[in-house]
Amino acid sequence: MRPIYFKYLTFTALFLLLHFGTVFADSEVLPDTENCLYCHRYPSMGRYDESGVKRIFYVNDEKFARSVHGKLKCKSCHAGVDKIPHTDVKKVDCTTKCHIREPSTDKEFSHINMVQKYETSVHGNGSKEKPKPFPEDLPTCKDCHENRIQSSVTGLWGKSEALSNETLARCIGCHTQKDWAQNFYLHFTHRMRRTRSQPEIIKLCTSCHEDSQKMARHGLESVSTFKDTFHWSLVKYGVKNAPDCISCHVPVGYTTHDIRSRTDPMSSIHTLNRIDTCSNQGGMQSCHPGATAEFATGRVHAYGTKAQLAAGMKVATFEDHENFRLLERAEVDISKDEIFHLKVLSLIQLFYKVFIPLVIGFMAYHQWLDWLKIIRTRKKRR
Amino acid sequence: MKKKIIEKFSSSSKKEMTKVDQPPNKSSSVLIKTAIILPLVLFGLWLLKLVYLPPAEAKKTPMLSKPSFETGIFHRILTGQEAVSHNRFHMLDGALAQPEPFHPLCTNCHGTYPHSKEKKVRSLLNFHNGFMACAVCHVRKAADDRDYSFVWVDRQTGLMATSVKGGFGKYPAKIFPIQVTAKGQKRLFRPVSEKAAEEFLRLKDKFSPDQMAQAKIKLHEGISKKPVFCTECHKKDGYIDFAELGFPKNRIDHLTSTEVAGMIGNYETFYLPEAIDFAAD
Repeated sequence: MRPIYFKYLTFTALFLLLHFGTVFADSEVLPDTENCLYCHRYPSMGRYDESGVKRIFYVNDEKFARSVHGKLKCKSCHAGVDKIPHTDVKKVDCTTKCHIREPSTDKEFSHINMVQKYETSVHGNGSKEKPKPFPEDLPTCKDCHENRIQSSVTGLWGKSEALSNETLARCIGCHTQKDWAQNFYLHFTHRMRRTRSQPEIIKLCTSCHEDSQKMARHGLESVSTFKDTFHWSLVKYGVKNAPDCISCHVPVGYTTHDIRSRTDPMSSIHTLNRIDTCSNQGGMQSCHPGATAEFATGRVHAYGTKAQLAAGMKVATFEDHENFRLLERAEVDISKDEIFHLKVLSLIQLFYKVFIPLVIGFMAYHQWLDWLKIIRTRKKRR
Repeated sequence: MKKKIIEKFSSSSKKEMTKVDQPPNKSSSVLIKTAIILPLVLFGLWLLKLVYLPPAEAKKTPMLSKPSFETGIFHRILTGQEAVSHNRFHMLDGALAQPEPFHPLCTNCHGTYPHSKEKKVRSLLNFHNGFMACAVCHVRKAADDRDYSFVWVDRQTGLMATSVKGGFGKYPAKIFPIQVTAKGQKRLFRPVSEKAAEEFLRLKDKFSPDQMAQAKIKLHEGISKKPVFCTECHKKDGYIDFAELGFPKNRIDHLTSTEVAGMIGNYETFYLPEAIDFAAD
């Protein structure tokens, strides 16, 4: 074949691939039967709310149609939007049944399972009998979730579009409803990979956990104790597969909606589960496959206020209410061994606090004497 | 010959020696010493801070009860954090992030969403702000004032155009009012002079409260008391000639249809308080 024809053929093939290969990128925009886009498709739709926050009411219809919630009608989530202006809007409740049937049970779907788990987790509101203080501090669904665009896996066997086309062709042989098969395939493959990178996960978690005031209200230290670790250094310098919060707090077999306190035997970081967590057997990445009990009981986060209070290195006073809450937690969380470690570390720290200035001070003094000597020698020569 | 060379060499080296031995002048010597010592001192101070004043959690004194007023909120607004609520669920696109060098002057003070008073229609009015300059509705002196026509003005270049590509608020330009001179030249009409606004912005921090009130009245004196109401444009042969702005016929039919006007009519009937007069005659 002459090279010129080959060039034309390649160009045509590429054009066809780009045009027809993007099965999912061109997914149809749902008909706006509720007419919400009549106003909400305008980018400048919005206002500043009463608390001064910029509220954007714009919805990109194409992005929405390709999102994980793209098959839903607006009113499935935004209940009570029955008139214009929307004066009776109810807050979106993710436990609402959204008129989609869950195929494994053929029951109407809602996120109630996740929400129920979540409520009993460290991030939940607690039980009715024992509600948590400052509920407004606790994260809601929207604090962590956004309506992500569904995208299938990449990097396994070449381009995702080609992979999707080939796989889907096999599915459609039995599952003849093409729309259903496409949607199921997208949903499944979307879940096959992490949607957030390690720095993104840390940014998300620290958006609350770095707020020391908010944490103190709940008897917690801020996550600055993580930023003094080797794990954080790996993330900071962009090491591939570096461990983020999820790696330890939600390893294989756990869910982000059910993160528990370290004192809870159901927690991945409870002493009984640490070996499994560090080794992450069965996961995509076995971080410390040979983890022993001694290794796994080692401290990951640096010592913070709680340990200092437990060790008596920081004294809680009556004016210092927040530290009493930390002290309460410290008595449960900090073991005697850890108090001993902290004291040893503090002594080492003290040693260096004295030693380093002495060495540098002596060096400076030595240099100064040397300089004086040079001046004197020069004067004598003259 | 050999002796001469040796003498010459030794004399030149002696000269050099005397040059080197000459003490440098005082100011340059102080400068050199400072250049050597200052970094050492700064390094020492930095090291002391690092060793003795670490940014440790223990140094902070968090509060148990929530403060009634969140301190630092204005600084956060200034630095752009939380400009958009961080728990936004629906994905945004580039339409909102496009820079707009040639924007209506009013937005310098009034922001992207200038309408906030009338709760019932503020968001609807605000979405018009994405493709129309404020002056389109706020420049008219009287209800029968027809001195203005309208053109598209490119957001990036400020050049006028009679039609643009796009739709549903996503245009590369905004509609501005213009006046046509006797010679037929199109002149962009600004109800507030750009120079006056710049002068106001330059001096606003120096005004006393009374002076500020005076200045605001003066600055807005070109703004119409009764803005153009929705149904004045969204009707056949309305205030804006959509055809002149290059809208296709089907879009014009839609914009001037009973669907739009009817919805707005419902607002008037059912929602807008009677006390407010939107110049609807």
